[in-house]
Amino acid sequence: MYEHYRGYALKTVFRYIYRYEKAVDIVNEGFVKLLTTFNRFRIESDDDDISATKKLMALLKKILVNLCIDELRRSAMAPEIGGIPDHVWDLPDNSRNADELLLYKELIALIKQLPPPYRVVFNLYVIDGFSHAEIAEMMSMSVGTSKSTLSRARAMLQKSIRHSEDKLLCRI
Amino acid sequence: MQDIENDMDDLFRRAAYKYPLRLNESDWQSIAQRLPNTAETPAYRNHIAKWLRGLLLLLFFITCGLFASRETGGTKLAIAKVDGSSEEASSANSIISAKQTIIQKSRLKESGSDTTVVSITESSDQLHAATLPGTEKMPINVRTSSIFEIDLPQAQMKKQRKKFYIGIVGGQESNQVKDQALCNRGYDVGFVVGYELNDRFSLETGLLFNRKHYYCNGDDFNMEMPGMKLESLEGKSTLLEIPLKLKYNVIRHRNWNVFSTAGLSSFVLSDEKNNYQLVINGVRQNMTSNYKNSSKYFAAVVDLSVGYELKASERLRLRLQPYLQVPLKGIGVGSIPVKSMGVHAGITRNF
Repeated sequence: MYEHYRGYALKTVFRYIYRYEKAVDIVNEGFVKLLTTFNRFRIESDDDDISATKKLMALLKKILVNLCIDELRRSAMAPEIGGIPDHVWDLPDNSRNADELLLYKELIALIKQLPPPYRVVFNLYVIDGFSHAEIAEMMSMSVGTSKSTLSRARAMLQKSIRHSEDKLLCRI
Repeated sequence: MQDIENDMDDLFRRAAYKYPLRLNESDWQSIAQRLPNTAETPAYRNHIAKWLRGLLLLLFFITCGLFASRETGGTKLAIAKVDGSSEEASSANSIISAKQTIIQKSRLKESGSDTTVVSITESSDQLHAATLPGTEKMPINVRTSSIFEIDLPQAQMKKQRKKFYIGIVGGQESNQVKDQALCNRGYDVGFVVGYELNDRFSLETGLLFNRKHYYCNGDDFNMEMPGMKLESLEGKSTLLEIPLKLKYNVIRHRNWNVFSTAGLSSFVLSDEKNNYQLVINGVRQNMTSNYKNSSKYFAAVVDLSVGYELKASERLRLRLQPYLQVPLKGIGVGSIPVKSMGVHAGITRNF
């Protein structure tokens, strides 16, 4: 299970956590937590393999997201400095969809450049599908603050995309 | 606009699942090593355990205080021995030994022991009680009066004072960082426990639930925020305060006291919410952060106060106590030195 899901787990965590090494630590901690409490994981008798997999991935994602929020809180939601080193990316040299992968890499880099509170809310709402009410509870903020934070995050991303429009547009 | 937003969201979702991230080497061994011992006690259980320990300790002190104080028996003296060679003396002594088991004990503050003074000297045909501090010599007729029931109406027996007290206090306070603007008022409420060392000095401690509101310039927020300039913040903190103070009765009156206290207070910070005014990339923005990690600050403030205490009854006292807390160290993620000024009103009961 660890081998099967660690790629998914790392991609999830790396959207929240700036540093690659820290993201790896959190992935490991997430698996420890998942496996420690695995006896509480329940599959219904009428669940097929796909449903069971989805439930497991949802549980893993929830554990990882909570760990990421805790980690960011420990650092007081302070923005990180320094760029993202190239060695964390796995860009193929020759591939039909190399340009597409490069685009996706740049988009994720833009998310990571957001201030931590904006980054977390954007990831939670847009990518991980949490509602504003759920985000408000997880982040100990009001629903209004969650919405306004998301709006500012989108504005910042749009501004960043416009800045790098020349680089990105030709790859869409 | 909505379409553009939806398109952008879809793009980011695709990117999130397909972006090319290098996978680190499998680290299963380190995970496996942690598994058998990773049933960590949930944080909330540690908090509950700490609270229970604190409560048990407090109950222990209260119980000790209750057992330590006993009701003063009336005005009875127990006589253990009659000195003298007269027939009355020997007769008295034989009665005493026979009734030893039912001696009624009274405690006098001056004697400090369970049984009273106790030796009776013979003088002519009457026995007189030995001098007790503050008492007069009382004639005792051994034959007609019960040796064990001697009334001493003139005895200046001081009632034993109840030294231990407990009460509740609370009030509003203003919190300020250095000489900066004031915010909404905070408050604290809780209980106080004290012990009277003597007529003048008492030792007090307690536990108060404290809510602080403060405003702070960016310069006084001691945490680096790279890429951002902090202009100001408004903070709200929830703390538990544990004071330890010496109380001194400056002016003592039969029905009231004027007192002063001095001591140190420690805090356990359980919740902090800061609303930051930031400048990011030249744009002024608001950001709110909430921190729920518990932090302890031992001897964080010097606590000074003066107060007026009214004796509502023999054991009940009402107090009004303006105070000032001067910070010795900063609290919260930004180590902010918060000064507090307020007034406590309270009621205490002696045991």
